[in-house]
Amino acid sequence: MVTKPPRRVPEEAAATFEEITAAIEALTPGEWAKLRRYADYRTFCLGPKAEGRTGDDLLNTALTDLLEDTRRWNKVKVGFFRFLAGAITSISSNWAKSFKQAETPVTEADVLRTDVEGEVFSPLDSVPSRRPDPEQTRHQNQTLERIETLFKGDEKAQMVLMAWQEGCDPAGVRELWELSQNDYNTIVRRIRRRLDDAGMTAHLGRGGN
Amino acid sequence: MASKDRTDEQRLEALTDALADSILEESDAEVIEDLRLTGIDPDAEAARMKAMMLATVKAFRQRALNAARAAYSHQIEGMERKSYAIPETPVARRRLFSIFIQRPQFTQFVTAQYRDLDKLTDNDIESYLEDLAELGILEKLQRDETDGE
Repeated sequence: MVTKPPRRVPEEAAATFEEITAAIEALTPGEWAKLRRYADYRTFCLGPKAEGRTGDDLLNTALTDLLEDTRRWNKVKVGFFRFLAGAITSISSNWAKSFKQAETPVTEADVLRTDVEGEVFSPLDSVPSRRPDPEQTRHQNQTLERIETLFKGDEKAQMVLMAWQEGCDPAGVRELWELSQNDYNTIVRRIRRRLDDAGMTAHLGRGGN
Repeated sequence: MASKDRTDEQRLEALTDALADSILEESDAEVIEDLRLTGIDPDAEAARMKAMMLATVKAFRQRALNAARAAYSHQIEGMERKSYAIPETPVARRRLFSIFIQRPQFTQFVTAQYRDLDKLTDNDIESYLEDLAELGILEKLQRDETDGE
């Protein structure tokens, strides 16, 4: 994978406090719901690497990075919702990569870069993953087994889950299993809602109850 | 079912990434419904999150304001410290000012009205010396005197 060069949003293009406040006020109910769910799912992705941090922490870190000028939002190029979603992805990825890296401790603010599109990337992206410790391995194995059990009688969900595990993107999954967009969307919703029902993803942002 | 060359970590990571990304590709209505199904009131949750983020902005601005106030106080303290270089008594200040106006290298800093010491009040002299101290000129004068220039 090629890491993008560090191109920061120019200071004159970066949003001001007033613009940030106005953008928060202007988020729609659908965008708030998506941010809530996306931050929760990113926390779910982290598993034990979240180290007790929640979806709220992810969202607040994204905002604090913006206020502290660690990240810059170019409002002309990217909407505020997209900026926050991108920041959440980047922060959760950095949390995962810096998890227990005792030999090479890094703080997130030290390594983050934002390009002119407002997309944040990290040089840590090119750092190879460490060998997982036993606790992580057990968590990964148990989570995969639990998901497999949950969808035992649902052949279509199993097909999508398998393709995802192999790294297929949505278009690739649809092509692989000859699914229409509607069929795919229905299956994905079913997967999400069953995982929520099983308590694997829902409410993670508020402490994982 | 899964290929042998992918680890559990890679499989789970790819699966959860796809699951998370599906939220961004989903319609607003469906995600709101997702939230509702988990027992969360979407409107109340949106209000809570908005309040949380606005509070973060407010706290940050307050911090920035406090930092600016602290920097200002520091600057004022520095200015007050500099004024201590001025002699404490009117007589001593008048003597220092007299030396200052006699030095040719500083004539550019003194207008004609300030060359007539008898017409200057103690306050005039004190205020002028404070300005000179702030500009660092008084310090240079004292250094020159010490060096015997």
